[in-house]
Amino acid sequence: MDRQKKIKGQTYALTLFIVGISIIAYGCPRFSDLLVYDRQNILCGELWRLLTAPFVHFSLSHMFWDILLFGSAGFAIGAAGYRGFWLVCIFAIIIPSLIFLITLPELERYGGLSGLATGGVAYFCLCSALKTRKKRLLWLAILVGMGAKIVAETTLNAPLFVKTSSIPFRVLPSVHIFGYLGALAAIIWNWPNIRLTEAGLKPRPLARREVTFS
Amino acid sequence: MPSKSAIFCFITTIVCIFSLTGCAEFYGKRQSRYTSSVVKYLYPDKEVAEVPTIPHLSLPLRVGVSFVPESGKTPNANKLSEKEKMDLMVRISSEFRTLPFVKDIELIPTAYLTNGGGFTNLDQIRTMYGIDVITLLSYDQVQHTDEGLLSLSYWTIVGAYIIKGERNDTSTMVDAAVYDIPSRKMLFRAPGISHIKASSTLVNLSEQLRNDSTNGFRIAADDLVANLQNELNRFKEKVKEMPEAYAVEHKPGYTGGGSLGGAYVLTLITLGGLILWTGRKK
Repeated sequence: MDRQKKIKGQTYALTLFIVGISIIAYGCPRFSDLLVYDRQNILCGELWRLLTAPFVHFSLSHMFWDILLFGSAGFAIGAAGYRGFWLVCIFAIIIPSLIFLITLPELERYGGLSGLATGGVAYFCLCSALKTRKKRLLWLAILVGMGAKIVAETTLNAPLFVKTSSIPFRVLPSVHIFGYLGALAAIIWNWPNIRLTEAGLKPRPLARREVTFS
Repeated sequence: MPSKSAIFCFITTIVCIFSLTGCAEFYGKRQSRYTSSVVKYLYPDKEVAEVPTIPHLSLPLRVGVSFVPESGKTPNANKLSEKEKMDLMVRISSEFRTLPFVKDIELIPTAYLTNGGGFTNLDQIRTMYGIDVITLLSYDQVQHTDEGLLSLSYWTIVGAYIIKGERNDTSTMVDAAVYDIPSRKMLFRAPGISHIKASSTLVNLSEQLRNDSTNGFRIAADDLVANLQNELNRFKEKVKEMPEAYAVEHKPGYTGGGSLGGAYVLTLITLGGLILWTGRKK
């Protein structure tokens, strides 16, 4: 029970931390300049930008919707007590920045929490689908819908729900793919514990997990 | 035949009258003006102005900020120092810095702008600094000094040191005009105005006028910064509403990010909330 409370507390704290940093960064342009993914500065050694890029937003509506979805997903995951949200965050933070650095030399600046928000929602849906059998189809339907949206956006190379003329940056649908994949990675990593919980057994501490070979 | 004393009295009276007239001329109504004009800088001695074309705004923009060279100054007018100009430019640039479609701001010293240089000079600046858009700052400050009734106390000499008989009016306007250099089109402008009334002693007059001048520019700059924010927002709306008047394109090497959209976010939250709510109800 204490462990469950600890997981909830950690998830809430992580969510609040990311939301807080994003709001502060938006309110303080100089701080935001220090955090944003800036290709030239990263190549000059400012590597922290690979980790801090998602905390920077380029317009108020950009920040508001990203934070609303990420915050909702984070608190839902915390309330449900699902473990491994931090892994989704790490994945959705690091992987896009690294891949953009390698594959998109023309991308000078990048930011936004939408990858993490997508990852958070996908993770919550996946965990809920695995945990509850009754609503499994509904959660999977949301997941499929999200996946279809990402595929459509990537194929069309344009956002489906956003007017491109109303935003001051180029939309990168690929960010959402990494969020989605982050959720899958966290589920795979957390799979043994989910199975144990489903079977009514106490999950083992993740850090002390043993690997056995047969 | 008038007596000697009558002649002496007459001469003394005449001398006094002339002296007073001299005083009145010396200390009477005075005006000084310090001005710079965007029109004189951009269109010097030209009857036909260059016709602007449709601006192609290639985002993100590199914006330059500079004061246009001074176009008129009376000898006794107070002048804006380069430091004061730079401070004002920094404040203006901070407004532009908050805009996501602005990549860089360059503060260009006034010395780089030649008097009456026009768009030829702006093209040179564009090449030197690699800017697309320039914010040209101009100003017009007029100071009037009148003497009030209290100035009669100056006759006592001591009054000139302690009685505030000089009434000063300082009217200042600072204007920011934003131009797209290649198309020669003014994108928008924002004014800032101030009016300061003050009084001073005769001896302290020049110092007071200097302070009024500095304060006038400071208050006008505050007003300008507030107006600039409104005009920038209005301009953003105008660009969206009139795509035929402003061609906006994204440069390669542009800012990117994931964007979810309000409809998508609300749909996901509503669906998730509904599933959770129906689950709890049972």
